Amino acid sequence: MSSDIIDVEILREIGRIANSDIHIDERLKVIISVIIEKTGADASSILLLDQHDNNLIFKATQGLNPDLINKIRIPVDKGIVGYVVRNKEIVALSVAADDPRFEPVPGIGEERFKSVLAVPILHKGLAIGLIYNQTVAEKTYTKREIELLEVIAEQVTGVIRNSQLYEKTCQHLSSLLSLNYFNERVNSSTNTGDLLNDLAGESLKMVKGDASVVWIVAEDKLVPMAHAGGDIGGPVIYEPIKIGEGLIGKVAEERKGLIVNSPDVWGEDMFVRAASPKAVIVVPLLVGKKVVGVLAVADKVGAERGDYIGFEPEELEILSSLSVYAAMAINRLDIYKKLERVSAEREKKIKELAILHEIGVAIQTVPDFNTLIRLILGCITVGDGLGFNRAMLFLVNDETNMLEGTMGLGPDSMDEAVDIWRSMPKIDNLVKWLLTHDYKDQGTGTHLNNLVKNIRVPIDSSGGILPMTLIKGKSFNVPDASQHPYIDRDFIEKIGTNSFAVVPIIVREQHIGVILVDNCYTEKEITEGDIEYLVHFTSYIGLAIHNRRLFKKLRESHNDILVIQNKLLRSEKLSALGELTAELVHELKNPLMVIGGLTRRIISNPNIDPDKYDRYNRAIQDEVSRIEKLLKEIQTNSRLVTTELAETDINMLIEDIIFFYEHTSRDRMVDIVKELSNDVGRCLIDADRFKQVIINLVHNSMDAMPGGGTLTIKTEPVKDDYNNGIMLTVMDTGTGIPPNVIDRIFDPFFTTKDDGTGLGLAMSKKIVEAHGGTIDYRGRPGGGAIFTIYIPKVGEGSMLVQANISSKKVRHH
Amino acid sequence: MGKKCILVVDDEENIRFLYNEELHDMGFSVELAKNAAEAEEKLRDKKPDLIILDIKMPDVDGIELLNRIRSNDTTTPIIISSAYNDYKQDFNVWGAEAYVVKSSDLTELKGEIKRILWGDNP
Ligand SMILES: Nc1ncnc2c1ncn2[C@@H]1O[C@H](COP(=O)(O)OP(=O)(O)OP(=O)(O)O)[C@@H](O)[C@H]1O
Ligand SMILES: [Mg+2]
Repeated sequence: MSSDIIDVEILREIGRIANSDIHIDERLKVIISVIIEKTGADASSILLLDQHDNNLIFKATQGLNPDLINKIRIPVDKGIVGYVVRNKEIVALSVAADDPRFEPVPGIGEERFKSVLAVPILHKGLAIGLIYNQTVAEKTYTKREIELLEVIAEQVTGVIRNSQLYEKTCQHLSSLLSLNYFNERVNSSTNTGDLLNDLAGESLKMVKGDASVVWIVAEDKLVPMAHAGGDIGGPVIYEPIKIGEGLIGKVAEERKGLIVNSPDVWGEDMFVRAASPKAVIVVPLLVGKKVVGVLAVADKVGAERGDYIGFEPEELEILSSLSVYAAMAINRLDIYKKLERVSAEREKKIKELAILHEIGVAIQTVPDFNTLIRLILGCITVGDGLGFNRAMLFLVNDETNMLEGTMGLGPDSMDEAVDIWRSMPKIDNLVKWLLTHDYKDQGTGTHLNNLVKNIRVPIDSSGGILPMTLIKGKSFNVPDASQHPYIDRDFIEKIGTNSFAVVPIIVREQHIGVILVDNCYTEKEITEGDIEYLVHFTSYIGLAIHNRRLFKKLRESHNDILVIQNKLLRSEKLSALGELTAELVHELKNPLMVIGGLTRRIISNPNIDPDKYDRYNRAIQDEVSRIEKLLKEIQTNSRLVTTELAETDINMLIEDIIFFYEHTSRDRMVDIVKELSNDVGRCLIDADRFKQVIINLVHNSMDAMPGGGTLTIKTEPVKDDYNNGIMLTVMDTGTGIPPNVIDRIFDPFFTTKDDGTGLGLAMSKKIVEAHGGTIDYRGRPGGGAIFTIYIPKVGEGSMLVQANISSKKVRHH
Repeated sequence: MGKKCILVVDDEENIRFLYNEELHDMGFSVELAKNAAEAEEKLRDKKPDLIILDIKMPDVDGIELLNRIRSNDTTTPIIISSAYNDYKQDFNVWGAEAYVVKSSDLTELKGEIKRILWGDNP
């Protein structure tokens, strides 16, 4: 096979590697072996730049000493490898040792190589590493070879980016899950000690740290209260730290988290001196603007034990979120204790705590934002909750930098208020009641809600009391609005009350909005206790909003990956096709030219010399058998499908795929139902290829259910006199396939979609058949499609395995 | 004046054979080369008047060979003869005179040869 086809094959193979879900190190290893196999280099290595210390690290190699992977670090100012990365330049040398830039790295076995081809791996205009090829014999690299390696380097960038994105998202998703789990636990804990231990332990897990410490504010000092993980520091860090002093004290004072990836700059700090961490994240535990403590996590564990890498900004973000939950819980327990002493109020406050707990749970379960906000305002206004007469919520719009009225809740007149209070039933579970109760039916708040929604003020001193609450970051209790410097008459008239309170909603320094409450009907005085409790409440609102934003962001990046994956899948389908046609065209045109050309000569030359005639005939026969051989090969599909068989747990494979589609399916209102039998066992298949089959079917089903529906994936063992295998069923409740096209759905290029290639089912069929299996379609009674795949179980040494091994050999000559 | 000489470079034996037969009939002397090395040698020794070049060949392919030839010889006309359609628009960028897609009907190729060597209008 000549060079063009090999090129396409390499790219395709690397595309496949990029799309597989093995760990990045493994992927690079596979890429290296492809490079070696296809370019004829005697040694090939990938080195990546560690941005923290500007060293190049061997990530994968074949031909050089494999023990040096992840070990030897080459400073970027050294040798040819350094030159390539510094200058983002390709270097091709027939005799590397003659070049002044050449500086052999001792111990890696470079001495035996003569020629070198080194190509930078570029990402966003920066060199992030290089591919380093070497040959033993002296060699002059052609332009084409250089270009090929350049293209491979581009692919490697894709692989790295894709896997970084993937790993990050996976990590973040799991962080978010533990975050919610943590919140649930802290909401139900009544013991500060447990809570703090939990916090220390959880924070370690979330950012893969080695050790963590929690300090709690007591007057002007931070007292260490809990720690988890490795043995951090001596007794000295267990002494209280003054707020404002050292790394930990500074964070408490400035109320801002930070990452220090080289803590030696804080050499005089007590904590740093005692614990001597390699890297540390420190976050304040904040309730609004009040610091209740500090959390520090030290030493992120790298790929190898004892190998520490720096923390990333996202991790600061995650810990900060965790700390908000923790701070609220700590504050709550604090209040709890204080309250225990005041027994007169005890009962009421316990009830309030119960509400807080319920709201905390509701934040995680209520699906839409408006319902959640209404629920929270409901808690503020209903008599069994905080019992304010009215509540109004204003949120910051970041784009316009305005505070905008979002919702108002409460009766519109005295009469209405009396009506409601009279008819109010005895409520057992306030949150549940609020969630199931529709305020509109009661005719409440429509006027107030409209009024609030029409209020928009700029966030500066000209906007009056609402923005000032936010800017100052503290609550205002206003018994007489007409006397207040931030309030003008207009505002009083608009909201129709002269006494009220305004409370800011701030989460982690982020200004989210304000809440205004009043007792305009009962004219009950708003006490400091009421406000303290309201402040508490608002932190939940802030958190709900913040959480939603965080979640949205994570989801977006998760979607990014899906898009990339889809693109890769599609481009693979097309390149498989392109490869096939390019190859076919070439392999057919040449023999046809010979056959046709010589036949023409025979026809136009009746008196042709018999020797010549024989020679022509032989050539024609040669070419005909060449075509026949080619067609036979295509028929057995050995060119389209290569199979790498491995023992695979099909159920796991399905779980993995479904995990990826969770969000997409939710967005599309598709319920995924799994009916995976535990008795299917493992079977010998090419997992990557098989994954494609399942993904193709899942895609098709999703496409067929634009308005939502149910997708069922089922596995079951099949064992009888004739069969021993697995049946896999993918069923949807979509449009189904019209009878007149059923015959064509497995044909290549048959599609009814604007953007379809029509290759999904055709490829799936080929793949299933290469496994000795079958794929069939039938309509679902009641509408929808059912695809069933049967795969026979084959053992090592069976016909299929043999056939695949030999077809692979044919392919790689 | 002696016969004009055409150098054919193609890795497939039967194709070279077919060209040889046809070009002889047209009255040219024909030199055959199965790879870049042979082609460069014949180029030096025989000084052909025209080169017919295949693109897809193992080791050094036609484009690469064309680059090499053009780096010290800008005048000898070159016709690319290939199974691919896709590169057709690029041939003059590469410094070739014509691009002919391989076919059992050699009329187009012959037309280009006549145009280039004899100034015929096809
Ligand atoms: N579950 C299904 N429900 C309804 N129609 C289906 C289903 N699966 C496949 N089809 C029909 O079969 C056709 C061929 O499917 P195939 O997967 O081969 O290509 P495609 O989906 O159109 O294109 P691509 O896979 O490239 O997106 C589809 O266009 C669609 O009309
Ligand atoms: Mg499809």
